[in-house]
Amino acid sequence: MRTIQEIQKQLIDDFSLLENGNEKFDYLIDLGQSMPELDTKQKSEANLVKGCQSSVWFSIRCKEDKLFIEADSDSLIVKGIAAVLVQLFSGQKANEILATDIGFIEQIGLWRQLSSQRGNGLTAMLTHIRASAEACSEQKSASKLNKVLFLCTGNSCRSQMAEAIINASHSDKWQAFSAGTHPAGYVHPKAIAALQEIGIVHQGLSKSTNEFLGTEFDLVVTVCDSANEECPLWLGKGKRAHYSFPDPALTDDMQAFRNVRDAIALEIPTLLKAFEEKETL
Amino acid sequence: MHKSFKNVKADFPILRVEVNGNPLVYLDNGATTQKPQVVIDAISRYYSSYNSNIHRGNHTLSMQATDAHESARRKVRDFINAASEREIIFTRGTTESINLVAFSFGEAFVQAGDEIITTEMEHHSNFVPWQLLCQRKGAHFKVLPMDQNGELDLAAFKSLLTERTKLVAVTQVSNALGTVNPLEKIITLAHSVGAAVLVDGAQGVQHLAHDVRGMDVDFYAFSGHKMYAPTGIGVLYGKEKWLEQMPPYQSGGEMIEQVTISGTTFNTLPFKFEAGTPNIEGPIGLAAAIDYLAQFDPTELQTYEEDLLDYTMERLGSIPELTIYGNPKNRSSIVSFNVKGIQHYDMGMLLDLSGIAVRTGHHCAQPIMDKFGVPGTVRASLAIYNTYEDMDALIEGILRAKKRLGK
Repeated sequence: MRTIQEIQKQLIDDFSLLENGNEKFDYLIDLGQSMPELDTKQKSEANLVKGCQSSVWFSIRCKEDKLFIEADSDSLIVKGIAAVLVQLFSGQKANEILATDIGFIEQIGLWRQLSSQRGNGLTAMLTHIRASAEACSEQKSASKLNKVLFLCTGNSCRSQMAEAIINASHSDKWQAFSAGTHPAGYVHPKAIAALQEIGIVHQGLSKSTNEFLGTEFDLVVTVCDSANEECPLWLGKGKRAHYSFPDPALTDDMQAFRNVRDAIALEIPTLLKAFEEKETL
Repeated sequence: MHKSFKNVKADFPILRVEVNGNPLVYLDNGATTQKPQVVIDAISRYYSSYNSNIHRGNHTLSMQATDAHESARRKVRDFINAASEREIIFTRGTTESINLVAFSFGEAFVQAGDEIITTEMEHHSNFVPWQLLCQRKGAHFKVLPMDQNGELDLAAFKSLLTERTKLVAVTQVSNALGTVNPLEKIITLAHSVGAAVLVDGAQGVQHLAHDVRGMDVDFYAFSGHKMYAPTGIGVLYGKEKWLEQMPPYQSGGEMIEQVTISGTTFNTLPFKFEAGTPNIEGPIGLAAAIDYLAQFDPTELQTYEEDLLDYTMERLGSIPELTIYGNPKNRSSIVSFNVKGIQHYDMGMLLDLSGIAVRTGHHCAQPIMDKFGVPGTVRASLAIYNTYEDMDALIEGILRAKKRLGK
């Protein structure tokens, strides 16, 4: 696949071969006529570019981090302009589309005429494509994060602390969640206090595992004391792991909360790292 | 024939420019007209020899500027045959003139349950202000339909009128179709139930009769820039009996008589409706445009423009697959069309490459486009300086565009 820069250069060369405005328009019209029509489903309100004098639709798919663009218009000239944008951007990475300075358009000549039309059609089309590129690039970066779910019974102490600690220290690679099989309905105040001591402000809610059954996790970690309590079983998707931590709420001693907190901060990152390495193998 | 109109083009310097390597053929006069040298000179003279604020200082320049401003008002009074200069209010244009009436007449005379009638063929500027007034007041907004010929349905109009109809707002000439409306009948019918009539003269004043007392119209609104004067100056004519009873539209500056902490009394007409420093060169340019038009016999001018339009219609009619929108008995200066398979925008762009300026789109009259089921049209609109050669150039341009797009 050629880069956007290479295609730009090609377009500038193509257009510079054309002598005058008339020939440039004929070329645009040819480009428009050679592009397939969109079907009626693709000519939806959502695909319609606002701010154009004529109707123009962009049907854009985001696959991985790339944009795949089809376009149509009831105006052949506008469709020709859309065809140039399709040549330029379709199949390219979203972040490269966003990084493109479309100043080259000036060099083609004729564009000044087109873009100054009422409604600034060209600007509206570019804005539409850029918005899709942004959405596509956000989708990608969100999906790049691994999702981990920490499970225990009450979702009031250990799983809450694990969620908070990982979100505070590993948010570049991980997005952490927590839940319990029998949610206590509150987060233990001493768990919140213990987190606060190490600079983490946590405002968790005690949640049921049912809330996450539809979510795809990369990793699910049970953090209860398997020797002394019944541990929940995760039936959803994702790799499973287990770490035993004693239930600090049994003693209600602040020091017990600190001990569990420090143990989590020490053990869980090691587990995540091991997972990352295995995944990249 | 019409030899005297052959040389009009020479009075307008811009018509000598070239566009995309071709001599300019300007057929977008419904949007704005070009200005003759005498109008440009009058504005230039104002700025180079007596620019000053008006109605304020007692120094020489201020008095000269005030004189020019008020003399322009009297010129407009005579131009439209108003009874008094107190009935001539300077505005920014037709849109502001209509909004002024929608606000001030609405405040004084429109109550919940009353009715305002406008028509399906109005420009948005003579539609939306009334729609908003009705929403504000809880009044009924009634829209008189037009038929497929682009003519208003007068029988329907009679049945819409009731004792509660306070105002009828109608255009003199449709900006999208060119239809000339039967104002005399509409005004007589409206007056028979005591309703006032506002006529949007934006597309009429420069082509047709504009005798407000002859028409017995209550309000007449028009813009300078569509009649060879500069942009930013418009006129609202209103019968004194209405204007006297209407509250000010905006406040501050010239429109005030006396201000105390407990209250303010307002200046007399027309100043009551002219808040703030006005557009001073506008009326000066407008007066120069009126003087310019005075050299032509109005009947001859109208005949020339009508013949030119007839010729255009005939030649357009000979082009295969070209549809002209509306078929009114009386048409003035405007023709809207599409060629099958060619989007109006494409036609406009291709004509522009040949130096021909037309308007494309919905012409701020979306209800009309809905009526004909099209998103937009190509509109050619004529003015005093257009020639038969201009119209031939349009026809050739359309044929070239058809060939180019393989239609």
